[in-house]
Amino acid sequence: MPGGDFHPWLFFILAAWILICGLGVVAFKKVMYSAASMVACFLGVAFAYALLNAPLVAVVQILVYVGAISIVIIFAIMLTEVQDGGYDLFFNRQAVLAAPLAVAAAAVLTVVVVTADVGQIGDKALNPSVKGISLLLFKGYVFPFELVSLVLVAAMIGALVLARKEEEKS
Amino acid sequence: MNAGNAVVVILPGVVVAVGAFVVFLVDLFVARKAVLAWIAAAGLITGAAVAVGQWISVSNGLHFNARKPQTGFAGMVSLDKYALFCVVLFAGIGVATIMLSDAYLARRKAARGEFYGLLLLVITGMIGMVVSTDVVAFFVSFELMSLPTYVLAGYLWRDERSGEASIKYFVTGAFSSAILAFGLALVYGASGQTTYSGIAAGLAKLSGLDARGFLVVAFVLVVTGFGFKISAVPFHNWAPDVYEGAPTPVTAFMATGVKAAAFAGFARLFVAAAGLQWQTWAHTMTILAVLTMVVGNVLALPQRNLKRMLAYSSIAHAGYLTLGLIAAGTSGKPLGIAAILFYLFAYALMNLGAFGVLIWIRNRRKFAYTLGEIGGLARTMPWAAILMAVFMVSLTGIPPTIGFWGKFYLFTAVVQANLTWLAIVAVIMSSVSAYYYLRVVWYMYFREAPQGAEMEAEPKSSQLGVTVAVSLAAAGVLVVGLFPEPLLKAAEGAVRLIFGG
Repeated sequence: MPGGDFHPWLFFILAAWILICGLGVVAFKKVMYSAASMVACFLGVAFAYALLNAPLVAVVQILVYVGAISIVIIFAIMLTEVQDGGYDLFFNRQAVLAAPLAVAAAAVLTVVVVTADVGQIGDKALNPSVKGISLLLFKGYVFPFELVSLVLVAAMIGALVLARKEEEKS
Repeated sequence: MNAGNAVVVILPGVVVAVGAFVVFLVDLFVARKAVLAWIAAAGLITGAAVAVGQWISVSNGLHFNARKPQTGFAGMVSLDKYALFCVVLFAGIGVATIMLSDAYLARRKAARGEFYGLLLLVITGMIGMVVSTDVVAFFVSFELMSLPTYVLAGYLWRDERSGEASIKYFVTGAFSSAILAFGLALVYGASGQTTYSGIAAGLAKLSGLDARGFLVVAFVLVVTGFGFKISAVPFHNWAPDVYEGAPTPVTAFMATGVKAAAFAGFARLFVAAAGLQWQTWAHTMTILAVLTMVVGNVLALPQRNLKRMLAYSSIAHAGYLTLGLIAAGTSGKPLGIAAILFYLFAYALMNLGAFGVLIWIRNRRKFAYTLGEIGGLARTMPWAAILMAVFMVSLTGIPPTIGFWGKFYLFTAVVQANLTWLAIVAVIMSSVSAYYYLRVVWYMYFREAPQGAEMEAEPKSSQLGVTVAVSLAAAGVLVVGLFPEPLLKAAEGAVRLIFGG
């Protein structure tokens, strides 16, 4: 088990929690239940970060995902009066082919990742302090960090373009 | 490395990004929206000019060390001829797209400011993909390229098919981005590094360990993300629907620009970070290339819609291009990558031209992009028909066009890598493609025009941009077709430094 000194079972319980909540997001008929399920899923991921000795990432996860993003999603649901979906969207003809393939892919990934011997190279990234992360973010990784701001601008303007009503007057 | 030097390394990208914001701002204050096209084009041309200047500096060793790439931002970006070659190509594709778009958008009464601004942001992301030498920077650039493209595909969302194209592209695209991120995370897990050179060194240390299966899985995931963006079989199913539904200038841009950036960016990642591990991803790539060439060409045969036909044709060309990666990986020589750069240039010219002719017709009359509707085009729009014939001949790969030389260099690289059977498959598939490309020519010249194909008396907006862009593309196809040496020399010079040799 990589990272922290917690009991592996704690991780498995948490993983099960995250998976069940993730399944809830796609399986609930009422979209509001899906949203609530997603909040619970985010919370589980935050706990996972905390267990892996990454307290800052855990706190950011709670602030950004559990807090801000969840609220925005719930606002969006309330404002747009989304209709509840049926299970015909959940189980369609493609599921017959997709489900076995997905299970097979998951099995292959699990076996390979668990059995492969790639050493312990990734360990040095653990136990990051706030100071360490700040240094990484504003020194080593400043280029992608600044690039993300462009991605956000593009996403924002793109959303406005797709949502607006009027046409060009000319 | 101080901050000033680091900005110099990414200067062309910075110029294009600034161009995007100038377009967004000026859009607020001017009533004549045609101005925006000029501003956006000026931003791209300035970016390309900076790149050309840097190319000359690098060649002459004026301000940069000609033997070592200039790096910046803790080795995350690199200024070298490979990136600069691609910057010029992307800027050219961008300018051509703007020329093809203006009359089209004005006619559809679509807002042009956001269109050009988003287009420039996409190109910024494309430039980021080729200057990046670090998987984090690469992935963020990849997303900067992808996100606005989803919006552009749905730009005319009142048209049901444009909206459908956007949603389809977005859902499958977001999914494939996640798979790519997973693959890159596994690569990081195996190497402990995020820079390409660090990954190469980290993976080399794994030789004694039982990591082969792990690496194969990681590379398959990365290749899946790559295969989606270049619409390689079996990740191609989105392409025909999205290409058909998206506004035609956006389709032209996706088929040339996004594909070029995906190839150039991933080629760098594959060769620089994982070139030494070629054995672990050889099979994946070979299967991908053969499937893509065969399925793309065969499914293009029955298409009656020209946009769908060009979509399947673009799938087939992705298959040819993948051969360049296989040649480079197998032989360890840079010729395959140089052939890819040459082919991307050729493909951009002939495909932008072919889509440009479709836009040209669409701007002049009712046109649903079907094969029957271009019947008799040689009489109604003779100039457009001649140019379209040039592009179709070039796409087939018949001399003396640029398309012939593109295929010639690619297949030569494959043969030199001792993969003659792959070259034979590619040649057979190219001759299959002659059927659906030359059928277009046959319809234009030997079929009667359908009922109701009358021209509009005088189109409302100027066609100048489209006609100039298409004519320039055709001139490029023929001139480079007659004198391919300089472009090939440039492509070879571009790959020499970063791939050794």
